[in-house]
Amino acid sequence: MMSKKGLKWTGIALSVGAIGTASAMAIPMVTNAAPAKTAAVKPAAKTAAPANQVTINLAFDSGAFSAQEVKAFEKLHPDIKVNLVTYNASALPAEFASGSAPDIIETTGSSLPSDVEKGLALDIQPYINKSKKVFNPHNFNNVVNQYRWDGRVQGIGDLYGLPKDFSPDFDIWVNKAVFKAAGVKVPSPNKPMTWDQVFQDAKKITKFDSKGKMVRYGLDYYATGQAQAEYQLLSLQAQEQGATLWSSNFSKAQFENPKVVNILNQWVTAVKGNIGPNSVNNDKNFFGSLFTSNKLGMMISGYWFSGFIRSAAPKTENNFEMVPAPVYANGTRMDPPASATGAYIWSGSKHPVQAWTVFEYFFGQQPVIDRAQTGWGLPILKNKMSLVPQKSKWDNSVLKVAKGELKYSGKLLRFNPYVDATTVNTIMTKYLTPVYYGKDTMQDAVRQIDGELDSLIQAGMSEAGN
Amino acid sequence: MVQNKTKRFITRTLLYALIIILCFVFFYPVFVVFANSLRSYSSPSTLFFNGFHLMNYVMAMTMIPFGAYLLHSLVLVSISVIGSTFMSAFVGFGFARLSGPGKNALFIIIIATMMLPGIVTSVPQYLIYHRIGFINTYWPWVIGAIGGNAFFIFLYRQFFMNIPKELEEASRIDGCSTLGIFFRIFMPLSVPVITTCAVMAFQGSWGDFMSPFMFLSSNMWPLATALISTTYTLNGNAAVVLYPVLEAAAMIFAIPSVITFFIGQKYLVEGIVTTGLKG
Amino acid sequence: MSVRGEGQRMAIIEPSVQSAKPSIRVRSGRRRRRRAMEFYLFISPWFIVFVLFGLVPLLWGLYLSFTNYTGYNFNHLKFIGFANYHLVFTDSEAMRALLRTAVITFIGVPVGLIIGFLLAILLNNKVKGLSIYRTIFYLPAIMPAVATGLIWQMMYQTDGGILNTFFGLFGMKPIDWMGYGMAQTSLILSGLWGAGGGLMIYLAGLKGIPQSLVESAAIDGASYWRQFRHITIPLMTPILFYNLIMGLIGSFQILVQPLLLTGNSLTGDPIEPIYLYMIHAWLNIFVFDRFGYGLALLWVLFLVILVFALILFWSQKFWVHYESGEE
Repeated sequence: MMSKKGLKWTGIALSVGAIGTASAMAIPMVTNAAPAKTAAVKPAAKTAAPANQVTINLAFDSGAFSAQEVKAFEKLHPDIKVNLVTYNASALPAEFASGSAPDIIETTGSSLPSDVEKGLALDIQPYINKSKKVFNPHNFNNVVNQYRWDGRVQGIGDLYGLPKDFSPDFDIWVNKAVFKAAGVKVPSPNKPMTWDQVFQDAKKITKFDSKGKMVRYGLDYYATGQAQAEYQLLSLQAQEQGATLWSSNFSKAQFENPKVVNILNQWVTAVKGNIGPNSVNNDKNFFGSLFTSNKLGMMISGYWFSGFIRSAAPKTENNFEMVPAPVYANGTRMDPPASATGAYIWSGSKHPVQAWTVFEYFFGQQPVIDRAQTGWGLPILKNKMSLVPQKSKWDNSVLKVAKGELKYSGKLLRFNPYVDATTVNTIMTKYLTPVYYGKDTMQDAVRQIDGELDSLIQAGMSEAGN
Repeated sequence: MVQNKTKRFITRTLLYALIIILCFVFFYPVFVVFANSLRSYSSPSTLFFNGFHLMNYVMAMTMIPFGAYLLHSLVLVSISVIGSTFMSAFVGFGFARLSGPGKNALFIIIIATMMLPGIVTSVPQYLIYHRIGFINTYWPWVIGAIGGNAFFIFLYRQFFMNIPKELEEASRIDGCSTLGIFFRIFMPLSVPVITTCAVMAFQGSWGDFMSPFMFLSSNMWPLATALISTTYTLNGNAAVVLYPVLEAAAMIFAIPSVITFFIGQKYLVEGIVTTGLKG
Repeated sequence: MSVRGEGQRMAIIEPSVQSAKPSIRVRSGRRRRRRAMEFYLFISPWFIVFVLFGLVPLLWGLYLSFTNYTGYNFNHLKFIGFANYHLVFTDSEAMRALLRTAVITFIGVPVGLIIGFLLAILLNNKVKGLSIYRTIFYLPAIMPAVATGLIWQMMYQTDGGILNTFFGLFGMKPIDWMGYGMAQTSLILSGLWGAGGGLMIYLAGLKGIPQSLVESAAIDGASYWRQFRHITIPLMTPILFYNLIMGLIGSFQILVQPLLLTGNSLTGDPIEPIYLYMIHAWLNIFVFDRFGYGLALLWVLFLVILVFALILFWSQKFWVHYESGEE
């Protein structure tokens, strides 16, 4: 990292131009100015003078943590400075290679196994065990299990991070006005729909006018803004039927599994029937505005969406309701988080103890309370559940469904530790798009998906072996 | 005579009609972004105004550390504009008025570097910058500025080659050193080229989002990078992007470029004319 | 040393010259040496930076393209010979993407060149509000990338997009702009929107045409078309050549536009017709972590660009008109 001396030299180099100097001096040129001595792992010295201040870089999507929260933390811990940096996936490999990655890094439940396998995530179980006051193991909602990994199975073993909050993500949000306009029976919040019913209703709702202009869509999915196949949703649908996308040791992709092919075919029908925005009709409209402007009947999304409705359509919230995640006729009910967003501590962090102090605060203390109160997700700590909005009848009815779904959120989606979710989705899009367009057969597509994924899994495995 | 006048009138009308149609073609898409930047985040995109939410512009500047990003942009732009404009002149002078063995080969290398796909070098460049502690500093920009810009060097060379030799020789007889000649004779003459390079350097570095993305951590990013990577989301939920606010930010971002171009355009043409962009 | 030697040799070749002359020659030799030193001094900033921060990374990148580099395994790289290069040429996707990129380049670049040139001709007339038109024509080139992406998504949306709404006014059926049939055309069109970017250089070129030439042609009664063909175009060929070369280099490296057209994410996956070579390289490097292979892809691209550029340079003698008397 650049030293103070470097800063001075930059200043001299810049003095060629007055503007350059003036502005360069005004902003810090040094981000990791922490002295290397403090890197020695010793119990967190809270009494340390600010002179030994350690900077912890926290890479999280902007908005998740606020500057006020950082200030509040720094007041409590004057020896630690928190730097909120934006999560920048493309720059990470180089940062890991060079040892300059942030100390705490955003991830998702779906990427966590691969983060661990790549040796990036620090095992925080020892810290959790020592942190009884903040993290009592009995106080965890079972969603935190998504951040457990024992080398083979996600959900058991040590914790390698924590989600910031979560929602069971596969509920159906229903726009009652759209259902009524289409003359379709509004689904009940007490009973899950079947997937067949979801697709049928979506088809009935979807309407285009005589000029081919969209009047309303039946179905959309929050993660992609499109009603077409996606990794997490597909995993859910497969696992509900007892199938899975990966072989038992994750060394092979199994998209050729007939059950998976059936689900994919269902999505191809959905795309061809135009029941929602997709990559063929190329509709880039934001699902939130489609839904609140009564142009969309059903949205696959979790509890957090109530937060959106509260802010985008506060007066008409009674027009919207959340119903449980759909099931297959002979399948099991599941409603896990798609991939709860959270973070891990980078294994290469020079200040793991201080990083943990920051982590503990942001994932267990005041910020958790702040977030719970917004209603944009459920807190991971059971004793904070009472903080989510419960002012109106509507708040309570949504919360009731969400709480009911918690029973089904313990069984997790199986994510491959050797290829991350982005990669799987990129490959799925690559080979399924031609099928949506009728340029390729499903048989050919799944064969290619399996082939390409297998080669990436091989590369990932040999890397993890090192 | 009358016939001629009518003919002229018709050509002029056609000319203006054509220009206005083209202006529409080039301007309307930008206008659409503007119109959309004023809609509410929950309303669908529009082809004409749909609401007048000036709040979006306030949010664009307050939801992210806009001021800090802007400051970083200004620093990077200053380094690039001042550094590369001046250093390119220096190098261009060497190629135009001095000579030494290997001059032609070196000049061909300069032209060749204009052809290299930038990304070929950027990954290894990152690793090297890291080894020497240049990551998360503005050194890569200082280095880049010192090295000058291949195209600018080329422009300066062309321009300096056309300056009469007598000017130089006269001052040499007066005992002027080469450096003196460069600063006292050549630099004052090359205001149009300097302006051209400065405007081009501004446009290039103001809009560059890739290099800061690679070489700087996000708290040091300039606006260009921040806007393409930091999305304005509602409550930090990545699925709910506030497009109108993003559009508002894009409009704000474009203003300095438009102004610089509007002011600099006269010099731009002049600068390139005087250099005579020929092989 | 060599300079003095040269001076002495000259003295020997011309033995009859007066004694003062060799001493001048020696001095002029010294001067030449000093001037060479000065030359190196002046170009040293560029040269040092080029070697340290251009050439070294370049060669290092070349080395990495012969390894199994994946972005994470930096401490245990394996040299794997030409395996990555072998893969490039047997990777049918890479080869098809290269062909596609070449096709888009060979259509898009010349058309863009002509449109930019015509815009400049149009604005080279004496018109009121010139600076405003120039700014508007140039606007697309200075819009931030994120705005350009949003613009084209709104343009090409099938239902309610700008283009289909406009054509709908004339009763035309909606066109599927981003579908297999149209995607390439749409990509080229979106590139043409930025054709005003080269405007300044063209305008400068047009301003540089000696007025006397045009006037004398007009006196000779040459029609506007003849003036254009026999004066404007030949004199503009060096500038057309420059823009052609730059356009070619840029077009082979198209990356962001198809990604932005497809979606908002830089990890998107454009449909086949606009799955260009750089996208293949980009996905392999940044999404699939195949850095070594990705660098091999880039080096192959560099060689391809180099070959086309050399062909263009060679072709100059057939169509590019340089004023005589030029150095």
